[in-house]
Order: sequence, then C-alpha cells, then structure tokens
Amino acid sequence: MDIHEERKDGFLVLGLEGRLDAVSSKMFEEKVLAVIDGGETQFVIDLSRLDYVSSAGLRVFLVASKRLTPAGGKVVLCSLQEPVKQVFDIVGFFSIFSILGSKDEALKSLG
Amino acid sequence: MTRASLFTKTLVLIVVLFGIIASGTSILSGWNLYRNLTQEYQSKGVAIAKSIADSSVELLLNADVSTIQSVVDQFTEIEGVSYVIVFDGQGEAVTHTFVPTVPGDVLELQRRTRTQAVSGAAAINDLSIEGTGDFLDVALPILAGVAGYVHVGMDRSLIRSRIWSAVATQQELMFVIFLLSVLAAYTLVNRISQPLKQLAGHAGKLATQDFSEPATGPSDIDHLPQKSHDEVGKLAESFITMEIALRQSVRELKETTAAKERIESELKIARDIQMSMVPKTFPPFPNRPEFDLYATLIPAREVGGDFYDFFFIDDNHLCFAIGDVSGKGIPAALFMAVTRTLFRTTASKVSRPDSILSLLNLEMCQNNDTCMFVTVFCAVLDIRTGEVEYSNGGHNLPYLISHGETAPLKNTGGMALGFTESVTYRTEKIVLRTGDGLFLYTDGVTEAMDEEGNQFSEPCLAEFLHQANGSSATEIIRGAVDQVKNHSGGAPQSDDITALTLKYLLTAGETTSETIVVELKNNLSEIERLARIADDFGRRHRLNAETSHNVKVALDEILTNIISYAYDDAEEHIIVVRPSLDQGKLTVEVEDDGRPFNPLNVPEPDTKQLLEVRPIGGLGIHVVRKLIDELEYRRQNDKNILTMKLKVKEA
Amino acid sequence: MSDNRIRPIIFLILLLFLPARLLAENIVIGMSAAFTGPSKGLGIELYRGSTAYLEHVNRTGGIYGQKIVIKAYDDGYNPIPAIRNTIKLIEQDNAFLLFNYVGTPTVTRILPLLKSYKEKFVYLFSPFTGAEPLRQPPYGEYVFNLRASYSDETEGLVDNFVSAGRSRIAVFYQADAYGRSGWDGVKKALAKFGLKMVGEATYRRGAEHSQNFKAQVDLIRKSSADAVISIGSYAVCAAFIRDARDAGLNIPIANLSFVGSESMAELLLQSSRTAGKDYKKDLINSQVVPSYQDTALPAVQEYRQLMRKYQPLPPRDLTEAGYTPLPYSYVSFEGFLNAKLLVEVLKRMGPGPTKSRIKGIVESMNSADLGIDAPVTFGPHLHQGLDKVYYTTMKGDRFVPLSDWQGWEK
Repeated sequence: MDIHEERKDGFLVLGLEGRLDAVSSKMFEEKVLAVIDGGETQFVIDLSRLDYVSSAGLRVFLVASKRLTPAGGKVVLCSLQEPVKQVFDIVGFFSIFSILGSKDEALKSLG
Repeated sequence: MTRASLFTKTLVLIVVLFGIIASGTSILSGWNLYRNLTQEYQSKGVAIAKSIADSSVELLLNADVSTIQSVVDQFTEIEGVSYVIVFDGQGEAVTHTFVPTVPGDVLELQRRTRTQAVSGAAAINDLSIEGTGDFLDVALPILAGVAGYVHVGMDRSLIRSRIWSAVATQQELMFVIFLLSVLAAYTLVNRISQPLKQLAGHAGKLATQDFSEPATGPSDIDHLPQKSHDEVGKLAESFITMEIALRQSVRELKETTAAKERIESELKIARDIQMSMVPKTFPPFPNRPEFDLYATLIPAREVGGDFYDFFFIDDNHLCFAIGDVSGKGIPAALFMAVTRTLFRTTASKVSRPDSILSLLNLEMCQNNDTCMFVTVFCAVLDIRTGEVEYSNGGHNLPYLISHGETAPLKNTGGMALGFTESVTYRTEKIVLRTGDGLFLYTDGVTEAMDEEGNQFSEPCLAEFLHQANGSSATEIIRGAVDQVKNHSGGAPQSDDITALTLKYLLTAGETTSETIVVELKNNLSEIERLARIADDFGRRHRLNAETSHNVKVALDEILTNIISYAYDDAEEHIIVVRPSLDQGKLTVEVEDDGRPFNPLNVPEPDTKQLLEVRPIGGLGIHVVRKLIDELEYRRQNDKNILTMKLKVKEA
Repeated sequence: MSDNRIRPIIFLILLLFLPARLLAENIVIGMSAAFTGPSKGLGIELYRGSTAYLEHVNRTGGIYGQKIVIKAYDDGYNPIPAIRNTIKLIEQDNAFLLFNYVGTPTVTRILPLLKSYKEKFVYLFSPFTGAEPLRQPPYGEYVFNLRASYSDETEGLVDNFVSAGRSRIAVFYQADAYGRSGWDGVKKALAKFGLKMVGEATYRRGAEHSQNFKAQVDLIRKSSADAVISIGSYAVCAAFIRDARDAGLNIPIANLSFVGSESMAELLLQSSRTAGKDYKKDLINSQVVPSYQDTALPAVQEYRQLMRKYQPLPPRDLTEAGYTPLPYSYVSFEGFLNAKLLVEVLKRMGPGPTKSRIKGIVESMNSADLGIDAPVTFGPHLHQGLDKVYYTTMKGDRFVPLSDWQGWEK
C-alpha cells in the first residue's frame, strides 16, 4: 500500500492507495502516529484509492482517533469505495468517524 | 624544462667539482707555498744575516757604526727584509733600520738570544710586533757574540701576500676554466637536451593529437634521427615509428568500430522489427473472458528467430502458435518474418492445424534457397467446447497443466518446416477443462545456461509448472521467466526466451464447478498471493465483484488471525485453503495445524460503543461473520477446519 | 745638400783631426748630487756656489789656459743613481776628478767604486757630507774632504748643551748612514761626559715636509729630554720642529750643517705664517763654513761679489721647475769654498795636470788659506781640511751667527 501526502487549504491530506491489510497496517500506523506527534491535530484521510481494508487496518483508525480526541483533534475520512464502506459499516465506524463523500467536503468540515 | 634541469644538474656537478678542486688545490698549494716560502725566507734571512755578520766584524770592532749602517741599509732594499738591527758586544743597538724606534719586542728577543748558548747557527724566531706585523727574526752572533749580534727581520706578511696572490692567480685560472667548462657543458647539454626537449614537446602534443586523421605534414621531430647520431636520435626514431604504427592502428580501429556500429544499429533495427512482429498487447482479447492468454519474447543479445502468434480464425476459434527458426542473427530474423507472415496467410486459408503446417511447409520450401528451417507448433482452440486441435512441426511439445498434473502433449510426428516438401503433418485433439492451461515455449527456456553451462532443463520447467497450479497465465509466464533468469545468474542470454500460456476458463454461459487447493505458508505476505488466486478464481467463474471482495476480506481476516495467533513456535506451517464452486455455492475451507481455536466463540463487539470505550481487537471475526453466509468450525486430526459458505451471484 | 748643413759637418771633421791635447781644453770635473727631490736645494746651491767661482777663474785665464767645467748629473739623493752617474762620469765623461757630491747614503755607496777604479786614480773632492767612512780607512784615502765632520759638529753641540746644563739629550735622526753618523757622533760625545742619550727617534729618508712626525715627537718627549739634536734633511727637520712645537715640546732643537739653513728657514716661515705660530724659536744650526754675512773675511767678500756678478743658475736640464735660487746661502758658500780648494789644488799641479799626482799634491797642502781665517791642512792620514764648527740661530727670518748659549742655560 502507498500513502500519499499533500497539503490542501492548510490541512494535511493522507491518501491511501492499494490494500490496507495486516501487512500494510503496520506502516500505516507508524505514519499516522508520526503525523499526530508531529503536531497535526486536524487532517484528512482520503480513501478514494483504497481497494480493500481488513480489521487490522481498521485498528489503526481507532488508535489514531483515540490519540487525537483528547487533544481536541479530529481526523476526517473521505471518498470510501463500496467494499471499504461495507466493512466500515459492519463494524459500526460510521457512528464514530466523520466520513464524508469528497475531499473538498472533508477539508471544508475542518478548521 | 629538461634543459633547465639537465643543465642545472650538470652545472651543480661542475660547481661542486670545481669547488672541491679549487679548495683542494688552494689549500694544498697554499700550504706548500707557505712551507717553501718560509723556508726560503729563513735561508734568505740567514744568508743576509751571515753576510752582514761577516762584513760587520771589523766595523763593529772599530765601532764604525755609520758604515755598518750603510751596509745594513743595502740589505733592507732586498724584498722581504723588514728590518736589520745590529747589537754590539755589550748588547746595545748600534745600527738599526727601525722607524721611529726599536720595538721593545726586538730588544726583548735580543736579550733572550744573548742568554742562550752561542752556536754558529742562526736562531730563528717568530716575532710579532704590535702595530707593525709578523716577522721571522733571524739572529746571528757576530764573532760568537763577542762582537755583537745581528737580527734580520723577514716580513711574514710578504709570505702571506705571496701565497694569497699565488692562490688567487690559481683560483682565477680555475675560475676561467670553470667558466669555460660551464660554457662547454652548456653547449653539450644543450646539444642533448634540445632534441630531448623537442621530443618531449612532441610527446606532449601526441596526447592531444587525433590519430584517426592522417598526419598533417612532416613531424617536427623527423629531422632528429639524422641530426643526432646517438641515443637521442634512436629515441626519436622509435617515436616516429610508434607514431606511424599508432596512426595505423587508430585508423583501423576507427574503421572496425564504424563497421561494428553499423552492424549494431542494423541489429537493433532487426530486433525492433522482430519484436514488432509478435503481438504484445495483453490481455489481447479482453472481451473474451473464456480464456486467459499471455506471452513473452525476450530476445537474446543477438537477434534470434523465435516467434509466437495468436489470432481468431473466426468468432469461436482461436489459433495460436509458437515457432523457432534455426540459427541466429539477421537471417533467422528475416526467415522468422517470412514464416510469421506466411503463417497468417496460410491460417486464413485453411483451419486445421495439420493443413496449416503442410501448406506453410510447401510455401517455405519453395522460397528457401538458404536451406533454413523453422520448428512450429500450431493449435486451434474451440472456445465453446474447450477442444484444442494441434499439430507439431519439430517443436518442443507444450505442457498441459490440468488439475495439478503437468505433462507434455503427445507428439504429432511432424518435422520442422522448410526442409522438404514431402512431410506429413497430423493433428491431435485434446479437451481443456476449466482451469486447464497450455504452456508453449521454445528451447531458449529449457536450454538457458548458467555460468557453469548447466541448462535450465525440462524437468525444472515441469517442476515449476506443477507448482504454478492455479496461477494466471501472466503469473505462469512471469514465474517461468523468473525461474530461467534465476537459473542463468550472471551468464549472458544465449537464445531468445519465448513462452505462451493459454488458460481455459469457463465456456460462455456456463458456470462449471471447480475446486482448487491452495497451500499457504504462515506468512502474512501469503495473504496477497491468496487474494490473487481468489481474483483469478473469481474471474474464471465470473463471480461478481462483491462476492470476490467479501471472500477476500474474510480470508484476509481469518488468515491474519491464524498467522498471527495460531502458532506458539517460529516454525513454518502450512495452511490449506480449498475454494470450491458448485452449483452456485462457493465453499472455502481453511485448515491449519495451530492451537485449537474456534473463531465462532469470539464475542460480538458492541458496535454502538463510543469511540473512547471501544476495544481495539475483535473486529476481524465480526467482519467475517457479517460477510459470510455460513460459518462452520470443527477440529479434526489436530487441525482447525473453518468452512465458509456463500451464495454466488453471477456477474 | 744645402749650405747650412755643410758647415757643421766640416766643423765636425775638423774637430776629429784636432790634436787630442787641444780637445782636452777643459778640465772636466764630475758631480752627482741631488738636483731633484726633498734635498734638491743642496745640490743646486752647491753647484751655484762652485760655478760662481769657477766662472770667475775660467774668465781670468783658467788653469794654465784650461777651463774647468762641471759635468753634473742628478741622483736625487739616492745611492743607485749616484753609482750609475759615477760610473758614467768615469767611463764616459772621462772626469778628471769627482766633486761636490751630496749626501752620506749616496757618497758611502760610491766609495767602493773609487777603490775599484784605483788604477784610474779617481778621487772625490769635498763631498757635502760629514760622515766618517769618507774620512777613515778603507775608503778615506780616495776622498779629500774640506768640511769638518759630523762628529766635529755633534761634539760641539753636545759640549755646548752640556755646558748650558742640558745633559738630557735626545736624537732625532734619519734612518740611514747619515743619521747613524750623527747619532754615533752624539753618542761618542756624550760618552766623554759619561752620559748616555736619553731618547731617540728615527724617520725614513725621503719623507716629506707635509708628513707628520708626531710619533717621533712623542718618543722624545717621553724621554724627558731637555735638548734635541736633529740629524736629518732640512724638509723633515723643519716639519719636526713644527710638530714638536705644536705638541708643546719647546726644548732647544739643534741641526747639523747638512740642513740647508736657508731652505729650512723658508719652510719654517711658511709654517709659521700658515699656523699662526712662531716655529723659529730655540733653534741652533751648526755650520762648517763661516757665515756669508761675515764680510770681514775676504772669501766672503769675494763670494758675495761673484755671486752678485755671475748670478749662477742651476743646471737647466737637471733641475725641476719651481726652485728659487737663493742670493746667498751657507750651501752655496760652501760650494764656493769647495771650488776655491779645487782651483788651488789644480794650480799647484802646474800645467798639464795628471790624475796620478793629485794625491801627492793635496796631501802636501799645509795651512792653505782660502780666505776664511781657518787654515786648510791635509796629510797622508788627514783627508779633512777644516775642523772648525760655527753655530747659528734663527732671528727674524734667517739664521744668524750664534755666539752665546746663555739663552738656553738651565
């Protein structure tokens, strides 16, 4: 899996591409924690190019979120593909995460 | 600069040499002169003293001092005589030539002389008179001292000045000789170093010269061999010879290189032509999901004569072939081009493989002056039924991969094409079942050599193909190529590596049943491989995307759990996955030999929990439950067996 | 050939055939002396004085019809030229006798020559030197001296100094035979009184008046002398006097007759004028001839008259330019007296004089009168005619006779 970084409207946007499974979730976890420790309190994770997610990957989102919320931070997910949406739905992440349709929407919801 | 350093060296040598000679001679001659002059002086002084003494006896006795003075005055005119003083019998100075007065040192000396025992000989003393100089005092008693004493003072400084002037003259001469030597050395060294300098300059220019061009006029050192009849001339001669040879070599090299470049560029063009003659677009027929076809041609360094081809004869019949022209190089490539073109035209006329080959052979024999030949395997697939009719013309028989079994096809007995017109070709028929594959290849695969000359060999290929059960055509080809490359190591590729794989999937409209067995190692990376196999399976059976995805997700979760948690040791374990499709129902069995674990016993998480209180784990099984219709677990023979069942939806 | 050239040729041819006797019209007397150099005054004045008298003699009939001619050469007061000149005079010029030589170093060197020319009977008359070797064997027999010797002069000076209470006598002398003679004279004279010289200093012959003799002055002053006897040439003696007085050494300084008093006085005057000091005090010069101011003496009158009359010149080709002849001088007076002696000798030889008879004639001279109120006597062992010493001192610009030594009494 590849992780792309870009800054838009003053916020960090992380784009995930490929499969987020047990193997790639480790790398994803390291990245997200580094970003949070680096001072980013509000950022977007763009899943438009993520084909697949497994529970290991889901774990990372939980970890990230739990790290951010006490500090008043926020992470917004956007552009989920159908299969990924289904999994998120099954595990009930829609009630915990801010999941929006497009990157622009996500960015607008921040700040 | 050679001249400066050579000359400087010589100069230094001369200087040192002359320095040694000069100092040596001056010291030697100075010393000699000193000794001789001193001796002369002494004898002179003694002679004068004697003369005065003898002539003064009477005068002294008569006290005729002014005559003694006249006598004495004459002697002072002799060179080297500084003073004369005559003492009478009482020791009083009666005659002297001192101005302004007799020095105390002299009086002192006389007193001493008087006290000494009188002998007939002269007493010679070194006397140093302050303010006047150094003298050699010769004292002689007159009439045994009774009449008195005479002292003759010889001027030492005269000796010194004589020595200095002699040494100086010598040194002047030395200096003149030195200068002449320097001049001579300069001339001589110049004679040597001038040509050397020219040579050096010439050599320097050599580096910047373009030897490919003919010499632009006579060399500037051409005259040297005639001019210098010594080692320098020889050197110059060698230089000139070398230069000529060099020029020649460079010219030849240039020509050779040019020729080589020409050939290389032509070869490149030939290779490009060769590559353009084989279809390279994959997947070639995306709208025909009934089969999976992939091929590759990796040309060797030298252009070869391999080819493959595939095309639809009609909507339901796919013709595919592979061939290998004898030999290598441009002739082979050209021949291949001809063959391929003829093949296409022939296949458009007739459709049975044996006919194709016969006709092709006839055509090729006709226009074959060079007696080249080509081995061809040609086949036609009926897509609806999976029937494959094939004919072989001297080529290596392709491998049939069917349900875990790998074996070469039965030969049809035909010979390579282009030899002779009287060859009979036959056709054989096989039926491909779903999932079966055909692996076509040329000997570039099996005969690929490593650095020690060991061939990749057919058994190795068969082994690989056996292992590749379940992989896609692309995977099989790529895998095979990898295997060959691994085997070759650093050895250069001697022949084209050509291979074509055709996998038969479902016939149109039917969903047939299939069961495959996949063995995985307990390594997280294996999950991706399984996913690919799943994709392939799904493609074959035209399962819809959602089904495929769900299966993959479920398998991911299950396998992750097993790999992560099932084993206590660090050993390698095999996990077996058996997907099976039967009448619209997909069953996937996962078997592992790890700890006993029933995932169904894992409690459901509360998905309504707030983020803060949500535990991190346990989601995987939840997902699996949600995606899979039926889940069954049993422990059997020390193994966990989890069975997942899904209803399949058609795409 | 032209007329002008023929005449001398005929004359020469005639000369060749003239009898030898006619040719020997002149009696050639040879003179080698200092006509150049620091002592040129001596040779020149001597020559002038002699030629004044000889001119007179020649003009008044000569010696039995023969004229006396001086053939002079310059030796510059140096022995080697003196020797050469002497040989030349004897061999080439056929000199009848030698005469008027100047200087001790020169004369003592030609003495052996006289001996070697014994067969030719070469005699030296009245050399201008008072040295002993000329008066003693082995060479004394070839020389006839007129003047008193240096011994006489120095003895006189010492006697007078000692009498005046000055017994610490130092000697400043020329480093050669001349100086040595004087030195020896002083030494012997002092020995008579049981005294010794307290100090001495020498100088090299040929030194110039312009040089300084401070070293010598120092040496003498260190000896605490109360009188100095100088035996030197007039130029050096004048310089010595100058340097002594400059250094504050004001003791009386005596010189011998060898210094040409007039020449010395001239130099002292110049120095006095230049330095603004008086260098003319406390000087005593001894002489061997009377003062030319003593007109009571007939010879003096004659001398003065003839000098005025003939105004003799130095020999043209020998003297350097820049010499002003003195109207009267002690040296020229001595030269005059030398000539008088010579003429007397030649007269006594009668007509047709021969060299072999010279010795006998001179040695037989007894109390000859030259007009100076001092008899001239020679003998077989006495080759010095006079022995009187006169004393002069400087008053005003010149040396005048001194009779009274009281001025220097201690």
